[in-house]
Amino acid sequence: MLKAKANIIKGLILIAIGLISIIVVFGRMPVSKIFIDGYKVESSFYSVDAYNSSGSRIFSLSPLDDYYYSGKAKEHLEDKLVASGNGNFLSQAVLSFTNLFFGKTKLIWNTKGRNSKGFSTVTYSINSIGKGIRITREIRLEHVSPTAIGQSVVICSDCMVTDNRNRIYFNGDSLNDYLINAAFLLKKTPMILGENQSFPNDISKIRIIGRDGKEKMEIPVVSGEAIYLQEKWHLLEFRVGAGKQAVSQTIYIKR
Amino acid sequence: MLIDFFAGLSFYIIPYLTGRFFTKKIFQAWVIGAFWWFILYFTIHAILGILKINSFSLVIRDLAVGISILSIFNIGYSCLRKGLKIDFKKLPIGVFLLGFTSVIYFLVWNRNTPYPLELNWDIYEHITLADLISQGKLSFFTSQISDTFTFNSYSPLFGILLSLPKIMFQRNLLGIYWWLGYWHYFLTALASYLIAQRVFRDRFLAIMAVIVSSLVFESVEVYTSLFLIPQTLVALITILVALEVKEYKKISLLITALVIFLMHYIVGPLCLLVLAVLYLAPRLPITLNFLNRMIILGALAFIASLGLNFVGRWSTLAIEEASHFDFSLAKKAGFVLDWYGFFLIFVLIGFLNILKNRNFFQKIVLILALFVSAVSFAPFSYFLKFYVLGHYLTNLIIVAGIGALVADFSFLSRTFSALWLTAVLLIVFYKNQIVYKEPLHFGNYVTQISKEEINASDWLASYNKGNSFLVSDPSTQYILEAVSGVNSQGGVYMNLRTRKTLEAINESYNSGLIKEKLLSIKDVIASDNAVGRKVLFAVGGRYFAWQRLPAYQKESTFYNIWSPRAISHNDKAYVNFLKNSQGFRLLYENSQIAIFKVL
Repeated sequence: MLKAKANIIKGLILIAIGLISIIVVFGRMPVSKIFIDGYKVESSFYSVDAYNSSGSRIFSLSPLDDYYYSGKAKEHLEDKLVASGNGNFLSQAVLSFTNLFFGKTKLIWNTKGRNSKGFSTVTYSINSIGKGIRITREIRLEHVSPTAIGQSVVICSDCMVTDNRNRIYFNGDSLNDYLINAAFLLKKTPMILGENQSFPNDISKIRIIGRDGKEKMEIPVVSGEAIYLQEKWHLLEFRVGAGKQAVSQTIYIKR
Repeated sequence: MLIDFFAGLSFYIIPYLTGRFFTKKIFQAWVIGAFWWFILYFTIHAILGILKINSFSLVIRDLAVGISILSIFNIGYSCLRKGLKIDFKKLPIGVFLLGFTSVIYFLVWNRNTPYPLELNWDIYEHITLADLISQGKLSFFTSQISDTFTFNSYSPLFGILLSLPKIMFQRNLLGIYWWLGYWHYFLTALASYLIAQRVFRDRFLAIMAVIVSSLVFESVEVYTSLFLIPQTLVALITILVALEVKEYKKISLLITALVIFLMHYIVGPLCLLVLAVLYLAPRLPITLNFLNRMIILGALAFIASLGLNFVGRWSTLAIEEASHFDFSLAKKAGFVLDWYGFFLIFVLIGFLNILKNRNFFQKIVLILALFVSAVSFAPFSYFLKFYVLGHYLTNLIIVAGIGALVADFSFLSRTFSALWLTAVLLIVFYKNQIVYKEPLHFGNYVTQISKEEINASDWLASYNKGNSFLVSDPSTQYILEAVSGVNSQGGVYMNLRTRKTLEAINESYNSGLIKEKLLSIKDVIASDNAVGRKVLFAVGGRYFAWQRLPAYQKESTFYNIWSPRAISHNDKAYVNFLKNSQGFRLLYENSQIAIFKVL
C-alpha cells in the first residue's frame, strides 16, 4: 500500500517535471519573429518590419506612423513610444503553443505611448493567411474618441505604388518628363496626387512594385477605405472609420 | 547522394579496417587505425618530398584500397576459421537506435535542409583543410596549411581522416559531410547507450540515455551530438574508449592518448584526465567513503565555479573573438534551460540517489560529471566547450534520476513514463532547434549554404587551374573556398588588413581604386600566392549585406552573414557597374553571386 502511494507520488513528480519543462520551453520561445513562406516579419522596439528572403525590408508598421482623426484633428496614434513587447508570459506561452502545434503563425506586438491627449496603447496582431498576413490594430486612446484611423504602411525605399488598373502614383503638383518616362518604362499610366488627396475610388488593389517592375506586395482595398500617399516618407495610409476599437488590413507578400 | 553515403561511411571504416590488423575490438581498432593514418600521411609526404614525386593523393588512395582489401580478407578468413557469430539479441536495440535517430535527424533536424545543404558552420574550414591535405599540403600546424586557421587548437589528424573519403571517392566533401553528420549523431546515441548499460546494467535506463542524448542538443559552442567537428569527435572517442579502458594494454593506451591529444589540444587533455580516472580507479584501494567525499568536493567545486562568475569574467586568448565566447552566468543558465528544459532537476535526484547507493562506477561518473561541469561553467572564454564531454556525463546523472523515480514502477508504468519524458524532451529539442535555425532561413530552406552558391563553387572548381585567388566578404570566401578549392585570404577568418581593404572599397564607383585594392590582398602563407595568380572578385547578396554592417562588425570575426542572400535590385546597379568597368570581366553570374576576374 505504502509502495503504491510512493509510486503515485513519483508518477506525479514525473508529470510535474514534464509540465514545468513545457512551460519553460514555451516561456523561452522567441515570439518576436514569424516566418511566412520564406519571408520574415519581426518586431523591434519601434516597429514591426517585414523582410524578403534576401534580407531587404519590404514594409514597416508603427504607431508612430499610424494616425487617428477626431473632429478636424489629425495626430499620430503615438508621438512618443514608451514601451513595447510581445505580450505577457502567458500570452507568449499560448502563442508559442498554437504556433508550434497547430501550424499557426501569429505575432503580437503591443505598444504603449503618448500623444498630445494622453496615453495610448496599440496592439498589433499579425496573422498569416495563405501567402499573406492580416494585420489587426487594437487601439485604446486616453481622452479621445477617434472618428477615423489611418493605418499606415511604410513601404520599401526603392518601391513604387501602383493599382489594379495599371496606374502608377506620385506626389506632386504636375507630371514632369521624369515621371512620365518612369511610368512609360514600367508600362503604367502616371497619376499625380497631393498628399491630402485620396486615391481614386475605383481601385480594388494597391500593388507595390520595385524599380524593375517586379511586384513586391499587394494590399486589397476595403470598401469605404480612403488611401493617401506621402511619397517622401514612403508612407501609404489606409483611412477607415473608427466605429470600433480594432481595425484590420491584409497584405499579400509576393515571391 | 548514394555515393556520398558510402563515402561518409569510409570515414569510419578505413581507419577501422587499418586498426583491425592490431586488435579485434571495434573502437580500439578505429583509434589505432586513425593513428596509423596520421603516421602514414607524414611518412609518405616526407618520402615523396625527398624523391620529388608529386603523386601524394594516388599513393594514399592505393594504400587505403590495399589495406582495406587485405583487412577485409583477413576478417573474412577469421570468420571462416572461427565461424560467424551474430548476436541476434542485439538486433532490436540496433533497429531502435537507427530508427529513433533517423526520425529525429532527418524529419526534425534536417527537415528543411535537404542534401547537401548544411547547418554546421564549422565544416567549411575542415573541408578546406582536408582538401589541401588530399593535395599533399601537409604540416603539423594547421595554420601552416591554410590561413583559414589562425590558431592551432588541434593537429591535422581530423583533416587527415576527412581527406580519406575525399581521396578514395574523388568527391566534393560537402555531400559526404551531410551524411557524416547523421553517422556522428547515431554514434553519440550508441555511445550513450553503451555507457549507460555499463553504468546502470539496466536496458530501460540505457534506452532512456539514448533518448536524452538524442534530444539534448547544446546549441551554443558545444554541439556534442549534431555536429561532427574535432571537439565532438574527441569526446565521442573518449566515451567509447572509456567502455573498455580497463582492458587496454600499455601500447594501446599510449596510442589512444596520442590520438585524443592530437584530435584536440584543449578538450583532449580533459578527456585524458577523465580516462585516467576511469583507468586508475579500479586499480587503487578506494573506499566508498572516499568516493562520497569526492562527490561532495565535486559539488563544492561546481558551486565555486558558478560563484566565480559573480567575481568576474576572463578572456583566455588575446583574440577579439574570445570576448564573444565569454558568457555571463545568466546567459549560461538560459542556454541550459534551452537545452534541457526542466530536466536538470533529475540531476539533483540522480545526485542524491548515487550518493546514497553503493555503486562504485556510478559514484565515479557523478564525480567526473561534477568536475567537468565545474570546469565548463567557469567564467573563462571558450570554457563552455569542455561541456562537450559533460553531455555524456550529465545525461547519465539525469538517467540515474529518472531511474530513481521509476525503479519500483510496473513495466506498463515505466513505458508510459518513458513515452511522457520522450514527448517532453522532443518539445524541448524542437524549440531548441527552431531557435538555432532562426537566422538560417533562406527561401523555403534552412541552411548556411544555397544551391546557387554550390553551383558557383562548382563553376569555380572547373575554372581553377591552381592559380586562382578569391576575394569576397568573409562568409562567401569561407563557403566558396571550401566547396570549390579556390584559395582566399583567411576565408571567414580574414585578417584585419583585408577587412579594412574591403571596407575601403565599399560603395566605391572608382574602378581603378577597387582594382588596386583587390590586387593588394595577399594570402598570409607566402607560398599560397601563386605566380601569375588570377584574382577573382565575388560579389553577391552576402557581400552587400556584409558591407552594410557597421565598421566594428566588419572588423570582427564574430559577425558574419550566416545565411545566403539574393542580390537585391539596388545592389544589381553595383554589379552592372562592375560589368561595365574596364578592369573587370564577368566570368559567372546567378541570382546570388557574380564572379569577376580582376584584369
